[in-house]
Amino acid sequence: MIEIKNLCKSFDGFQALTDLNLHVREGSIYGLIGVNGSGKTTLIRHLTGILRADSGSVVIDGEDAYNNINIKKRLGYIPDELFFFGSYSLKEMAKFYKGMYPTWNQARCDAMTEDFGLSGRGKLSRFSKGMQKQAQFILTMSCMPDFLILDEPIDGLDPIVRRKVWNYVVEDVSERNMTVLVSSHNLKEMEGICDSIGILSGGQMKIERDLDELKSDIHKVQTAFAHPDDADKAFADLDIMHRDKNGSVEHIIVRGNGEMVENSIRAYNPLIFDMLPLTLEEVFIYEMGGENHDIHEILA
Amino acid sequence: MTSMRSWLNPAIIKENFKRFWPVAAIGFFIWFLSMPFILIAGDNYFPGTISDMMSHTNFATFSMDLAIPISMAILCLRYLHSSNSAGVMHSMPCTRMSLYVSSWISGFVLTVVPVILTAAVLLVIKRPVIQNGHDLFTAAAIMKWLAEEIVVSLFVYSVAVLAGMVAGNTVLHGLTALAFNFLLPVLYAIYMAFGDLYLYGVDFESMGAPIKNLSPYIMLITNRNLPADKSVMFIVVSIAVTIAGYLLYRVRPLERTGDSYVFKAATWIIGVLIIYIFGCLSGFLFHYELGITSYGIGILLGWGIGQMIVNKTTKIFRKDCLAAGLAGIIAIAGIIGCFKADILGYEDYLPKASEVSQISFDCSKLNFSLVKEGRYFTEESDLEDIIGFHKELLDNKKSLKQSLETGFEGESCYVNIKYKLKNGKEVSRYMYSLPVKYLRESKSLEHLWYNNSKRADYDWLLDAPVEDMYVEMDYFDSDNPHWINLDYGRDNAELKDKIRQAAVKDVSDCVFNTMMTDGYTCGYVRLQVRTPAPEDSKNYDEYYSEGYHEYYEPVSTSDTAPYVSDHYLVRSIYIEYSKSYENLMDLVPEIENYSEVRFMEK
Repeated sequence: MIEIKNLCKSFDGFQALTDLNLHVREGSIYGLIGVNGSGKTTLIRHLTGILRADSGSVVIDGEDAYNNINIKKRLGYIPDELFFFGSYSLKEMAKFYKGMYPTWNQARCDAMTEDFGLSGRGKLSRFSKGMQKQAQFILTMSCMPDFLILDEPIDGLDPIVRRKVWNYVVEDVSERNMTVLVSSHNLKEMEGICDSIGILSGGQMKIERDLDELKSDIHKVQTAFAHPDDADKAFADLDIMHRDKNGSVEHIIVRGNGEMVENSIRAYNPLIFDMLPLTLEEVFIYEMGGENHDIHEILA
Repeated sequence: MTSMRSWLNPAIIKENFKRFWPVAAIGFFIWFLSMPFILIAGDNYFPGTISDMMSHTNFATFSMDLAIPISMAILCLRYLHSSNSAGVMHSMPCTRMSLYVSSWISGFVLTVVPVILTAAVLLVIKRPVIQNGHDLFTAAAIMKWLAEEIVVSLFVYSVAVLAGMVAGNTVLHGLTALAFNFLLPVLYAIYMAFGDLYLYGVDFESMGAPIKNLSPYIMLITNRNLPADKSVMFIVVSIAVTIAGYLLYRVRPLERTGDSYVFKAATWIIGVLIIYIFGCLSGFLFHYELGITSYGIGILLGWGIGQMIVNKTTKIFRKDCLAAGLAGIIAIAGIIGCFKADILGYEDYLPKASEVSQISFDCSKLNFSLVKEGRYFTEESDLEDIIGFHKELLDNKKSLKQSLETGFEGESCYVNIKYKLKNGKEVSRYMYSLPVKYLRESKSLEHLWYNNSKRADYDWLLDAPVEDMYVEMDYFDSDNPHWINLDYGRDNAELKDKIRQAAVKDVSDCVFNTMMTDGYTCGYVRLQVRTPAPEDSKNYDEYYSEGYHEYYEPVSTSDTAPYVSDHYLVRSIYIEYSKSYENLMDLVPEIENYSEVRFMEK
């Protein structure tokens, strides 16, 4: 369990994080979404024990994360900007990681190196950015972390490798109950991977939701009635988040149990009734106040 | 073991050894070429060569003692100076303490390994090299050399690590490490320069003595050794600096990695220091040409360059940069004001005779060695005369200072007064460019001269066997200048005796006014009497105070080192004579006629 409470951090007068709260359940994948400069990396650097909070708390498994060797032993981190010792190969870096992490799994490292098709002896500095990301992923996953923190992990990876990366992550989550926090500026990337999503903007947590709950709770309905008054009657008892009309066709975003919503509308015999799928982006748009909200800027 | 791992990480140490051993290898190679190779290759086991090596007089000491520790500190702490590496390393399972201690230890080991290996090679190839009956190239001498090198390396390295804690990038780390190692000596040198510029009577040499205590590197290259007490002091300071480095590391804001300096206070202090140093240096260099403007030029330059460096931007016309400039101006104005006002009362300090145990008085116009044994005045009347003379100088300080600036007609001389107080403290004053005519009118000085003249005893010279006497005489005849040299034991004993008698008579008859007025020197006589050092071994300083000095070079400069009793001692008198030294002048024709005297055309 990762828990951040009222985290504040400022740099030279610039408030990078403000009263930020975050909760990641054990064995879940948490997607941290935000545009560049929203504070994702700063937040992650607090989680990995690199930065000290001005105020608030960053707690992992009940312990303060800052400078905590016990937490760091169980934590794997893939930063946005990678770092390898100059002129080192993957094999040499693996030796270093082996010395640093008591849970190092050499067999997994060898297997993953082969799976990703990387050379263990080639200089990492000569690898492409994508290959370096894969190498870092192999190193981090071979540490068998209980907590995995990924900062923009799939940037520069091709779709096949991306799928491989997510497979490994999901496998460890399901098999070892690993807890994952992954940051991205792209909400669509997180759809289908994450259990929970937090949206960060201007150093503040705008919204934090469980995805299954969220998606089953918000519905997009397209409907039309013979009498315009019927629409108002049908929607009267519903929690409408957004409503617009195109000719005689009504589009509503409604919160609540899907069956109940359908029953309420069908009770007025609509000419058309369709329950349409919602993208994660749409869910968040309406969750945060509709299309007029600046969520487009937040989600880029 | 768990607690051990919490402050030491073997993986980091191992990795640093693996990555940085080539630098240590290069260091060893240079040490090897500078020392063992020179001995082996040319079979140069000469006393001079060994003495130079053991006293750190070689290229390697000058360069490696700085280059290796600073390079190692830069390499081992490089992870701190890039945000990528700082992030990754600090997310790994180690605390800041274990990162610091592991990096510190690996860097220090790699720093000292080259000198340890060099010492090991020296121990293998050593063989007796005798000078004055002593073996210079012993295992003890090599181990002493090694210990001194390690102390210097420790100090330079720990200061370089401290610099790494405040620096935000590698370039600034290197520059700051170098600057921090010399910061205190530079600040002290500035203090001395201000003293020389604004205070009357500053003895630059005596004032400059403590500068060695501010850096073992400076002490090693100037003293050629590190005394044990100083070594302990430098080790303690290094430990304190290392602890300070760790305390800074604990609070190092990693988010500022990549900036010039990661602490705001360091940015500000270093910025002001750059302004201060630039301002002062410019002031000292151009003070006489440009006056106070000279400081302004340096301040402006220091502010511009310094603020750009410490803030890593050319946008320096901001409040905080201007505030740093103002602080630099205030610092320089403050120190100039303090020196001008002489807030410590340096210029006017005058001890009471009752507080003084002895005084060394040196006047370029008044050769007291003619009438006095040794260099110290201890008689109460002498102490009062010297203090009285010093008081006369202070009473006329204003006009004397003015004459220094405007110049004056006639001959000038210097006076150096060194008080040794009963409480052990030493106070030294040096007044240069004093008008001789001013000294001539000093009653205290005249009284001092006559009192000592009356007490003068030349029996040691008159009673000495002629064969143990060495005479060196120089005569400058404007038409026919000669250099005359009579070696003891081989030349005309009768003539040497006559010269001695004439010299003693002339010196005994010498009057204060003659000394002070007679500006034209037409030659000199040096009379030296050689005598075996007595059985009771004293230190050099005691012998020197009695008028003796060591016959053989090198003279031991250590006051505490026991004097080697099998050496000869020498007492000498050196007379710069003029036409008024009638007895000596009368002998000149006879000396010239003496067939065995060697003449040299000048």
